[in-house]
Amino acid sequence: MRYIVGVSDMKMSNHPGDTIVTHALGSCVGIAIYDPKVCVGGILHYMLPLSKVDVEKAEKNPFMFGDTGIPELFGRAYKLGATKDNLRVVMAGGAQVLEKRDFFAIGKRNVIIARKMFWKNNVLISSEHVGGSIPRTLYLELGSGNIWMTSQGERIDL
Amino acid sequence: MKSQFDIVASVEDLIPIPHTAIRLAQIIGDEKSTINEVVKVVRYDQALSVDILKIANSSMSAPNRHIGNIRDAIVRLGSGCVLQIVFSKCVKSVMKRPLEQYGYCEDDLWHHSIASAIAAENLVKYVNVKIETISFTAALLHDIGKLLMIQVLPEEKIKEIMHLITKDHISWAAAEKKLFSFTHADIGAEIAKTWKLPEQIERAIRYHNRLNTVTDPITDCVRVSNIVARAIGKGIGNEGMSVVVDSDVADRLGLSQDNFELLCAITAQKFEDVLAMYENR
Repeated sequence: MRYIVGVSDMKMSNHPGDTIVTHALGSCVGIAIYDPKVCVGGILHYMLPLSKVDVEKAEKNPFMFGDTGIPELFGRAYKLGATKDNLRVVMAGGAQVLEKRDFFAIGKRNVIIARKMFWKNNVLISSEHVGGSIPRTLYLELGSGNIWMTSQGERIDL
Repeated sequence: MKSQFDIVASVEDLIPIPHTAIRLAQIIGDEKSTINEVVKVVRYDQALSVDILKIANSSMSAPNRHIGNIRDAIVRLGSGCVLQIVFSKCVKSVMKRPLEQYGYCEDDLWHHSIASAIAAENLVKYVNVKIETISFTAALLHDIGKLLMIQVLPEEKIKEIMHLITKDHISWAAAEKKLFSFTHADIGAEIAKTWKLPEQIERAIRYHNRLNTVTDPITDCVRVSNIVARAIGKGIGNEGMSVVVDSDVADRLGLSQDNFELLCAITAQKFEDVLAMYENR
């Protein structure tokens, strides 16, 4: 089955036949995690870095923000038997508008929050494709564990 | 090669605009006009009157009592909102079409436009300058030129644009300008002129993706709204985030970074409800 992850959304699976995909990553960040030992993986697509801008919305939907979405993504994978040591972690997105100062740089702030959280929790990012201003689509194939992205018609394995 | 004027000449066939819409655009654009003149025009268009009453009584407008007559509905919504209702109806079906050249599937341009209009409507709460409500229509129509720009965008031109934006780090619009000497924003502004929309709308459409050439609040509002729509994933297409903006926009409007992010969250939250309201009309 093919699961589509919307904006401010997360999908997870432990079925080898499943593929998870998230489209239209602009300044949003997509985090794909996968544990090959138990075949558990998921993709989170968050929109904003910090839930402090609207705590109420974060309670209703933790996947809107990086600081609430990332722990939820990992927590759900652990519930399905994944372990931190076995997880492959891939990050894509965080594109930016072209500006001299970083006022509108949500993409950059989205990437920074993920890096901070991973660093604090001793999680290593296996592969990433972030920044620039290009659009991205991120894929995770449960059976093979392949994670890749496409952008403007080109496929890049991550 | 087609000039921008050849391209704009085809707009009448693609998007027919009823006389009521053009008359309303003229009245609302005229500073001396009164609400009575708006009411007079709307009253003669039954379908439009029904739409306006429906929206004035919808939960989005949060009325504290039922509004039964068209005058009260227009007063409640404001003439800027009436203009947005009229033009969204005119462009909806054509904006829902896929635009392969821009990487837009069915509905993508429509969703980008609606998200931008929602952002414009909500932005006014977070700034310290007055932004006229015609900014909603400007935000709704800011990318209307893409519908006609595709006439000069065969696959090889798209490849050239993509090459320019990734290698030269310029915006999509700047790449269009380099290849054609005009952009989808210029086409959009010419369309607005054809429709006799207020000059402020035409200006905002033309300059929304150029640096500080024009610095009025409506143009700045459209610049921010375009970014908000992309930040919530509406209208990413082939362009991604390759939009040029100067952070001075935020200074001029008095918009803080936290409020900009809050505006993104609010626009995303309201999007489905507003979309449903437009779909059911």
